[in-house]
Amino acid sequence: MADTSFETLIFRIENSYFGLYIDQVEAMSMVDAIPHGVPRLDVLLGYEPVASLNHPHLIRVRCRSGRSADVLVEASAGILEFKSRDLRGLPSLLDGHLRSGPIWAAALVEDRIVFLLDLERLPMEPSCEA
Amino acid sequence: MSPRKRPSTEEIVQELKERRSQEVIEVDEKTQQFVVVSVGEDWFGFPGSQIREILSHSPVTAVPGVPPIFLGVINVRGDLESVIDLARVLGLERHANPRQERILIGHAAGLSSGILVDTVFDIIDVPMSRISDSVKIADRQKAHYFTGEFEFRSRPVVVIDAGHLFTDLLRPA
Repeated sequence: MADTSFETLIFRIENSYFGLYIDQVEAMSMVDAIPHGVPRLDVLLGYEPVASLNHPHLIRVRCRSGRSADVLVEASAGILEFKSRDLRGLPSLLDGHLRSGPIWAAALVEDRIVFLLDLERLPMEPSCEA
Repeated sequence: MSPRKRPSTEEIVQELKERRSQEVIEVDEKTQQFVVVSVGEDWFGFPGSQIREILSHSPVTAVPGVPPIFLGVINVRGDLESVIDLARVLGLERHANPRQERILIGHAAGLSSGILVDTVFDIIDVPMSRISDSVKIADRQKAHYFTGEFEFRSRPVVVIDAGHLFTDLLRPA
């Protein structure tokens, strides 16, 4: 069975790492002023917005519908390449709680747990839905 | 009234032999293994058959979007395990001392998870005759987790069924 490689853009929020497939990212740029109405990824994921973003970046996500949607993130922690053998199933007790959320899988890369995100499951603005 | 006769050395030895033989009979009784833990002031026993291993408190990675009783996930030799906070599940206050905290890796009802406890005291074999079916628990909502009670170091230890616990936590509230 082929061991496929994936490239993900990594973000760190508190002590957790989140990955977004590069193919889903249409553009990423640093912004000086927070654009009105664009949600923060940490808030969409359920974190308390304890501080303002130090290095706010705007990510334009390429939706499957062909549309684009924007989300604000703290500067990326880098690009991480991992293999399909690094993918891990979500623990059985969490599976039901996460099923309708943005985390669809996890990867274990160099002892670091990375949650893989499908941003289309989050209420971004504008929405990915046509 | 005549003073009580002091036992002779032979009598003492004989009595010790009799006591020892009684103890042997008790040891031969069917036993069940338990992992005895504490959460706050309370002591609990998990059936040994439901606990696969006991880990020192390892770094837990938080997972957004799950109820607060889940502390997150840990890496157990390449597999991810959830970690639940037993104190929160039972509505108890923890006596947090990270040096003594342990994560039990439980397997029951086809499910598995880490369970954070304050302390692991011991793994003991308890004679079946000393395990009572009745548990004096005020919180009836939690009562179905508890399947019995026994005494250890002069303290009551409440038996928890990890299967009931896990099955309850499986369902989103």
